[in-house]
Amino acid sequence: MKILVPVKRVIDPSFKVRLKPDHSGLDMTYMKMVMNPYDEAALEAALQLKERGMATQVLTVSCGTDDCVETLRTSLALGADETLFIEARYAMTPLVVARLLKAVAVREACDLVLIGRQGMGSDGNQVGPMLAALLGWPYLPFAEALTVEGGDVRVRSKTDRGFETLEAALPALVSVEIGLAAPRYVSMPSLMKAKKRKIVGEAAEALGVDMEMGVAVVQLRSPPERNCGTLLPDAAALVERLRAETGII
Amino acid sequence: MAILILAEHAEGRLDEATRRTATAARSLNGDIHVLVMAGDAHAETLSQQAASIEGIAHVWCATAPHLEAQLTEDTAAQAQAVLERGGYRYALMSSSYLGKRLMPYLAALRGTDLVTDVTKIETEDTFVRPVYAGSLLVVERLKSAVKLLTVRANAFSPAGVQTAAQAAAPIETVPPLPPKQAVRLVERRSEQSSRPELSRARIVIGCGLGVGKKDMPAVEKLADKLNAAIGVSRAVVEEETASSDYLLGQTGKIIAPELYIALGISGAVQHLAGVKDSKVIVAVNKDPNAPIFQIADYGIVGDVAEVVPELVGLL
Repeated sequence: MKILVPVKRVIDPSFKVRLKPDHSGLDMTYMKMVMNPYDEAALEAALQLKERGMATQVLTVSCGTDDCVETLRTSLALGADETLFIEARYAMTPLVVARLLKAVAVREACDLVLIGRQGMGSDGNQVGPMLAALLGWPYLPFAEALTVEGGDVRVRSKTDRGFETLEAALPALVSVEIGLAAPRYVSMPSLMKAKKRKIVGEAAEALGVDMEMGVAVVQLRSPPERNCGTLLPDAAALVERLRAETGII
Repeated sequence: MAILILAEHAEGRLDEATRRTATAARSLNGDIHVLVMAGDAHAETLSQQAASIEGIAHVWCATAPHLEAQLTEDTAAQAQAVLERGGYRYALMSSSYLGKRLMPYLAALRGTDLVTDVTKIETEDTFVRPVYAGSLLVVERLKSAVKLLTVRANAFSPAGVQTAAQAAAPIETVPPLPPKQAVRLVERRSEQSSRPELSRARIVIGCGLGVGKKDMPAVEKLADKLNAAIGVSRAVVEEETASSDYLLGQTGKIIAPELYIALGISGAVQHLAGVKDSKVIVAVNKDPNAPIFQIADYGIVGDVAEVVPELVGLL
């Protein structure tokens, strides 16, 4: 069984993002980039399946600019067997990314896609379900637990009220919750080995998919800042103020 | 031209999120239709509930035994069939787990992009959505002829419900499509909790590492008195004293209640992003330099073990 894990490069979630003064984009000074933590959980789950003999190969893929190579190298250092870099010079919409990933999944004859449920930051929750729809593969969303047995995949899928257990035959697509698997650390020797691997990009355009973008960013805004409030001496003062000023309690 | 809302429901009850989605739809131009997809047991009652929402012009009802499971493959195909009848400019659902899994799938079936988690509708084709867990807002323009959106339920108030005396919207059945049989629903479990659900509660209490195990009975009492939901910070989940279902912040629940009470939470970036849209924020922390005080309307520098029992006594 061959597992495809798409990995996205995102801003480290412990950093506070800010707009440039002219609002033309994000201020990237001092920002650190990491592998999307949701995809990291997906990759870890894939590596564990391989270690348990459930999978033969783990393939990672990233679509974007040159910087993605660094994230792909990390995936190799973590234990991915092969990696693919789909090069594009501009930001793509989730549907275009899903189309590119479909082309990769079909060409590479993958049996299972494990994908983070959202990109940390863009918070879209779109590429996973779109890719499942385009592939026409069973879609098992929001996996908190995952097993593969005899050509079937079973997940514990998070819902609004609790969870569902869903099951489907491979090939299938599973979108991953951050808690599915705690990522391992990269060891020094495997990092050195991954550094020697050559990662060659292939042009997104060469995959022959429709690159038309159906959504455009018009503007970025900062949300209204909250003002720092009042410090109160004790619980009694708090209750008094809440009753007098908010009417909530 | 019309707007189609995909109804959300569980155990025979229409979810309040659908009424909130109806409010979002009312700021768009067009008749509002609701599509109910359900198993045979509940389809009729659910359609009636949908028809009684204020501002709804028409209800479509698709019912078949397999629709009870609400599997994405089946519901997306069914919704697509209704959209193909024509006349629709928008399709909306809330950005619940159900909406998050269904709407992008439907968009891909239709070959269009969509905007998820909309908090404000600016014009007929531009929509505001928070990114970086609300640290930034992005305004996006959607080009497709039929625009698909998911809306953040707690950014819109619930539409009213008509009384029995008022005329409800007509209900029309649509032929159900055959089951896709791609995914099997083996089991469905609901969390049994006596407390309100975190993303819907009017008042939420957040517990951080500053809340000891011994303080929990007092916190529970406070939650009882306020009918509040209880959430936790990432540090508490990492200590494995609470499940990630109760996590507040960027990787957990993003909340906007009327009142948020942060107890013993210092306020990491991811946590602040997830709670800062609360109407009123109260923070209790021993450390006067805790970042949570920077977004709190009212703060008490003190020990949770002392402040919470006092609060319980005063309420």
